Amino acid sequence: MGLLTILKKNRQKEKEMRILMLGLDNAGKTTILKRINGEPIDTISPTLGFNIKTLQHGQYKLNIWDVGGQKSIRSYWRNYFEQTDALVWVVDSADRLRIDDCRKELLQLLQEERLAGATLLVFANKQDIPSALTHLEIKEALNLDAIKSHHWNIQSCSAVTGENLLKGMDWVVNDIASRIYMMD
Amino acid sequence: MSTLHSPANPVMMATEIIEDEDAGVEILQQLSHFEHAAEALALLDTYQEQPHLLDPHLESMITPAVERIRTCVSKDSAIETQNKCIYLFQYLYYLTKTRGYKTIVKFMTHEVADLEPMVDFIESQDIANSIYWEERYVSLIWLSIICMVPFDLRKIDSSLVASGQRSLISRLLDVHKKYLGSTGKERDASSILVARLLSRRDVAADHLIPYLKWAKYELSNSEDIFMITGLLSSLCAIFQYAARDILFQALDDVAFPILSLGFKDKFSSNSVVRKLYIKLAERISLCYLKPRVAHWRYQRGEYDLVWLYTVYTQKLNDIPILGNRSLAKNLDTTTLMTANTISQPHRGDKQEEEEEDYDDIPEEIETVIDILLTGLRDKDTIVRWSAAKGVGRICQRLPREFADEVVGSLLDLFSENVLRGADDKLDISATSEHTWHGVCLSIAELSRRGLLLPSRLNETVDWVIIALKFDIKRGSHSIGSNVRDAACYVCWSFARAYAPEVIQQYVIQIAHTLVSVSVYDREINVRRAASAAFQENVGRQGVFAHGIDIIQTANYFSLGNRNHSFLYVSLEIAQFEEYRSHLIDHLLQISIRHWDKQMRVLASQTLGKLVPVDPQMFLSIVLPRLVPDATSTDQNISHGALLSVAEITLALSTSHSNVSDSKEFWKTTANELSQQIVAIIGNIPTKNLTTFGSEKIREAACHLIACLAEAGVFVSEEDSKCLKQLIASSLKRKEESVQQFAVSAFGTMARYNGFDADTVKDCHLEVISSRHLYGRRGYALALGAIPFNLPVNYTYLPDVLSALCSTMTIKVIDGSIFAICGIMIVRLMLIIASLVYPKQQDSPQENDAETKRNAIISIQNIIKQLGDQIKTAIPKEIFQSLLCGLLKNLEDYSTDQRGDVGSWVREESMKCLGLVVPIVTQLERPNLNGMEEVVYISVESHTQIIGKVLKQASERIDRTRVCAGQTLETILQCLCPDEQSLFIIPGQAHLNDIISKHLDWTSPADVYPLLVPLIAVKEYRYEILTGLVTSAGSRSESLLRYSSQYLNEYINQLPAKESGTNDVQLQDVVREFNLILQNYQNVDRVSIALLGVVGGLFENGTLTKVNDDAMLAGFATLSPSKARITALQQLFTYLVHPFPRVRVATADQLFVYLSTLEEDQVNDQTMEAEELLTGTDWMQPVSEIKSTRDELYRLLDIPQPNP
Repeated sequence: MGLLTILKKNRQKEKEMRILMLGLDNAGKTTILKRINGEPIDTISPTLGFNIKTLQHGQYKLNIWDVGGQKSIRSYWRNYFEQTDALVWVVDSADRLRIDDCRKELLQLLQEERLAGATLLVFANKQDIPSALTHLEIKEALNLDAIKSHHWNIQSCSAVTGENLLKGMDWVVNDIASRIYMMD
Repeated sequence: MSTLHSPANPVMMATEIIEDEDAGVEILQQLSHFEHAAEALALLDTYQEQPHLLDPHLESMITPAVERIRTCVSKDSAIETQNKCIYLFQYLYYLTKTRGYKTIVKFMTHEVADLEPMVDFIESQDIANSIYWEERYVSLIWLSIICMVPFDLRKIDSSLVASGQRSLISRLLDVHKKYLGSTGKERDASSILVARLLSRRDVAADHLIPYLKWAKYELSNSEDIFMITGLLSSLCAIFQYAARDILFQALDDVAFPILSLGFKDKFSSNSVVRKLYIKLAERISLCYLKPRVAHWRYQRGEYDLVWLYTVYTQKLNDIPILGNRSLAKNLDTTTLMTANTISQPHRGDKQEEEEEDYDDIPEEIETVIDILLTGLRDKDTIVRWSAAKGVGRICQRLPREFADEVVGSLLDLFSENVLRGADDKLDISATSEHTWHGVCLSIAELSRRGLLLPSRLNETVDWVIIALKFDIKRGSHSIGSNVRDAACYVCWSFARAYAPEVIQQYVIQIAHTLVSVSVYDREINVRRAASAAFQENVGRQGVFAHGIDIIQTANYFSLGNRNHSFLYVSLEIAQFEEYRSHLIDHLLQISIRHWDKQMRVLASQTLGKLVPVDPQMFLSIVLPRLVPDATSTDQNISHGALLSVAEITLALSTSHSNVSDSKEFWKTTANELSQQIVAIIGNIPTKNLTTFGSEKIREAACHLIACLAEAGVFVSEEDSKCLKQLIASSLKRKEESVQQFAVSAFGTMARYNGFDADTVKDCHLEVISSRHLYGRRGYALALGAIPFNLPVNYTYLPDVLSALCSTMTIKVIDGSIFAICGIMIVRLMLIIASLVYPKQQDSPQENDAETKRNAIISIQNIIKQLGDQIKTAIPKEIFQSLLCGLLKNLEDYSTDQRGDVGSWVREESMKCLGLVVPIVTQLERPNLNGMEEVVYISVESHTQIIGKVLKQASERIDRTRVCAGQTLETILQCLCPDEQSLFIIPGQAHLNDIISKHLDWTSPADVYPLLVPLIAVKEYRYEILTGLVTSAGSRSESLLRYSSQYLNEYINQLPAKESGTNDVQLQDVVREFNLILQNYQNVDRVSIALLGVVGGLFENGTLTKVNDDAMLAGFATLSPSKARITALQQLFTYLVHPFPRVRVATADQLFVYLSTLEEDQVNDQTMEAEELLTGTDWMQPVSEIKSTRDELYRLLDIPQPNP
C-alpha cells in the first residue's frame, strides 16, 4: 500500500459524508429525508427505529441516518454517533411548548465528545404553518449563539413544500467539504 | 480514469428473477437454481477496482434479495431457507466482497421484527458445513445492523427468561463465540456483531466488562491462532465503537494488562496477530484520551486546481510565481465565501481551543507508544502501517509538548545505524528500510494532522530529502522503494497541513527533490507518488516555481514509462532554469551510479540529451567531474561514467555545424579535456576489463570509442593503438552484447578515421585462421561494419574481375587469392563466402551457427551499402557463389543444446535474399534500357529461391515462418509489381493470391490451407512437401493439427489414375515422398516425420489407391525393416539406461511389441525374448543386466551396434 493507494482511498472517502438527522419526535425528520429523496410523504408514521438513506448530492455521496425522536428512543441516539460528519437538528417551529425541551436535548448532544468537530445545521421546519416561530426566534430560543464548539447554521424550511431543504443541505455539504479530511 | 460501466446486467439478473411476485412458487424454485448467479458474480468482479461505481445501483441490487431472504427467514424453517436462498446469500456475500461490508450492510433491513428470526436462523446453522459459509457470514453481518435497533433488547425478547430460557442477548453472545474461532470469514463478521452488540448502552452496562474479562482469560490460555485473531479483532472493534466512559471502568484492570499477555510472544511469527496487537494497543490508549479536533482543518481545507489555474493564468503577468503568497491567501478567502453563502455562521474560536487544558496523561500511554515505536520497525508492512496510524491518532489527543517528544524519538529512529563519514557525509547503507519506512509513514500521519511543529520541520525535511532518494542495493536486489514512496507521502501531508508561510523556506528543497524523483526514480509507483505529492503542494501551497507547467508535463500517464520520463519529460522540465541543475545533479549522483544497469544507460542517454540546454556547464563542470569516475574501480560507477562521457562528448560535438568545426573545437577550446577523455580508455583498471562483470565496462568503453570517433575528438597515434587493442580484445569476447558494441566501435572508427588494407587483412586472418570461436564470430560481424560506400574502394574493380573469374570457385579460397587480389570487397566477400561454406561441416568450430549468422548479417550490411552499385562492385562469379551459399544455408538445421540454432542462419539468409533479390531484379528489369546485361539472377534461380523460401514458410518455428513469409512477399512484389509480371515464374497466380491476403504467418490455421495447394506446382512440390511433412511430424499440437489435416485432405482428393493431363496426381506425390526419404535417410528430423505422415495416409486408405506396386514396394522394404532395426537398437540402449524407471518402461514396451507380433512372425526366438523380458528384474544395477540385454540382440536378429 503506497501513496497512490492512500490517495485513491482518500479521494473516495472525501466524497462520502455521514450525516445524522436528529430532533424531537414529530419534528419532521423522516419527512425531510423522504422529500429530499423524492419519495411520497403522505404515509409517514412515527419512526420506530432508524432509517438509512444514501443519496447523491452533486459529487458527494451522503449517508443520512434518521433516528426516531420518541422520548424512549432518545437514549439510544448515542449508538449512532461514531464518525459523524454533520448533525442535522430538526425543530418543529410550530411546537412552541416543547422548544425548551428541544434546547436541552440539543445542548446535551453537543457535549458528546464523539460529535466534536461535526457540522451542525438546525432546520427550522414547518414554516408553512402560520403560527410557526421564525428562524431568528428559534436561534434565540435554542441559544445557538452560545455554541462555540461547532460550525453551525440555521435554515428555515418546510418539509411539506420542500422550501429551502436543498439550500440547507448545500450548506452542510459545503461546510464538510471545505475542511480537510483526516481519514480516522 | 473512471470508466462508465453500466451495472444494468447484475441488477437485472438479481431483480428479474427475484422481483416478479406473481410467479410465486415457480420463482421460488428458480431462485433455488439461481443459474445466472455465476454470471452475475463474474460481472461484479469487473467492479473490484472501482467498486464505488456500483453505488447508484446498490439499493435496487440489494433490496429485492434482502426482502426475499427476510420473508423466507421469518416464514420457513431454517433448512428450507438455507436451500432456497443459498444463491441470494452468495450474491450478497459477493457484493460485500466487491464493495465492502460497511456499504452493503446499510441496505439490509433492521427492524425489531427481524431480530429473533435471524437469531433462530443463524443458531440452526452447522458451523462445519462448508457449503453454506456465505449464509453464515451474511447473516452475522446482517445481525450486526439489526442489533442497532433503538429499543431495549430485554423488552423485545420474547423468550421467558424467568422460566429458564436463555435471553436474546446471551444467545447473540453465544452465536458470536461460536464463530469467534472459525477459520473462515465468519470470524470477521462475528467480531463486528459483538462490537455492535456490546457497544449498546443497555447491553454494555451488564455484559461489556464480563466479556472483556472473558476475552482476557481466553487470550492468555488459548493455543488456537484463529481464536486469538478473532478475539483481538473483536476487541479492536469494541474499543472503536463502545463508549469511552464505560470502557474506562475496565481499562486499568482488564484492558491494559491484555497488552502484556504471553500470546504476543507465542504468536510473534504471525503478522496478523502482530498487526492486531498494535491496533488494539492504539485503541486502548485512545480510550485514556479525550478526542480533539484539529482547529486548522478549515483553513487548509479546500483547494481547487482548476480554480487555481485560472487565477494563475490571469495573474501570470503581474505576480512573480516563486514566493507568491498572496495567491494562497486569495484561495482561502474565496473558500470562506463559497462556504458561507447562506449566512455567516459562527466559527469556533481557535484561540480557545488552543488553550484547552488537558487531563493528566497516564503513564500507560508511554508504554503504548513504546509498543507502537517497536511496531514501526516491524518487518511486515501491515504492522508498520498500523503502528504509524496509531502514532498519529494518539498524538492527536496529546498535548503539543508530549506529541513533540514522540516526534523527537521518531526522528531519532532515522539516525539509527547511520554512519557519519570523515567528510561528514551520511552513510545510510547500514540502515533498515523497515525502520525508515515506518518512520516516514508516521511522520506523514503526524504532519497531516498538523502535529509536527514547524520548529521540527528543519530537522525532518533533511531526513525526508534523504528518504526520497533511499535506494540501496542489498544482495541481488535493491531495497527502499517503499521508503521513497512513504517519503512522498510525507511531502504530500506537508502540503495539506501547513500554511504556505511555514513551508516557504523548504519549498525549493522539496520541489527540486520531488521533481527529480518524479522523473528519475526507478519504480513507476514512486515516480507517480512523487508527482502526486508535487501536485498537492502546487495546488495547496501555490508557491512552487512553474508548478502548473510541471504538473501538466509530468503527470500520472507521462511518467508511466521510465524511458519516456527520462528522455522526454525530464527534458521539458530542464527548460526551467530553477530545476535544471538539480535534475543533472540527481542524474550524476544517483542515476548513473545506480546499481541497475538499465538505469545507468538511461541516465547517460538523458545526460546526452540535456547537453543542448546548457553546453557550457557540461563542458566546464560535468565532464571534468565524470572523467575521474570513469576509471573508478567500482564497476557501476565506472560504467555509468564511461557511458555518460560518451554521450555528452557526442552531444557537445553535434552542436557544431560540421565535422571539421567539431574537430577544431576539441583540438583548441577543449584540448586538455579531450586529451583526458581519450586517456580514459588506457586508464581503465585492467581488473575491470577482465573479471566478472567486465562485459559492461567493455560495452561502455567501446561505446565511448565510437562516440569519440564520431565526435571528431583527436586521438594520437599512441592512444589510437590503445583504443584498437581494446576493440580487438572485445571482439573476441563471448558475450554477444560486448561484440555488438565492439563492432559498432570498429565500424565507426573505420568510417570517421579511415582504414587501411592491414586492418582488413588482420580481420580476415582472424576469421579464416582463428581457432578462437568467439573471435571468428566477432570479426565476422566486424567485416560488415567496414564502410564500402566509398567508390575509391572499387574503382579499379573491373580490371581485376576477369582475372579472378576464371579461378574463382568456393574451393580455391586460400591465402594465395588474397595475395593477388588487392580489392578489399572481393576479399571480404571471399572471406564471408568461406564462412557461409564451411569447409568441414562436421567440425563444430567451423560450423558455428553464430559465426555463420554474423557473416550473413555482414553480407546484408555490405549489400545495403552498395545498393544499386552491386553489379559494379561484385563480379558475377562471386555473386553466384554467394547466392548459392545463401540457398545452401536454408538447409542448415544444425542443433545444439539450445535447440534449432540453424534457424538463425536460415532466417538471416532469407532476410539477405529479401534484400539482394529486389536490388538485382530492379537492375535486370527486362527492356529497361534495351542493353544486354550480364544476368545475375536467372529465372531458374528465381524459381529455386521461391521454392526454398516456400519450404521455410511451411516450417515448424513460428518466427522462421514469419520471416519466410515476409521474404516471400518482398521477392514476389519485386518480381511482379502491381499485378504486372516482369518475370514469369511458376505458380504465379496462386503466389500472388497468397501475398495479396497479407497473411498472419504466425498462425498455422491461416498459412497451411493456402500453402498446401502449391504442391500442384511441379517446381515447388519437393520443397513444400519436405517442409509440410516436417511440420506434420512436429510435436506442437496446433501446428501438427493444421499441417497434417490440410496435407491429408489435399492428398486424399488427388486422382490416382494416370489421366494423361499435367495435373498433379497421387503418384507424383508418392514419388516425391520416395525422393525425400532417399535424400533424408539419415536425417531423423525428416525421415521419422515422413514415416508418420505416410503411415497416416495408409491408415485412411489414401495410399492404397496407388496401383503402382513397384513404387510402394521399394518404399515399404526400405523403410519398415530399416526403421525396425533402428528402433529396436535404440530401445535396447534404453534397457541399460542409467534410470531404472526408463529401463522398466522400455522392457514393458518391448514386451507389448513382441506379444502383438503377427502369427507368422512369432518363432522360438521371439518367445524366448518375451520370457527374458518378463523374467528379468530391470531394476537391478546396469552391470548385472547388460548381458541379458545383449542376448536380446541375438534372439531378435538385430545387429549390435559397435560401442
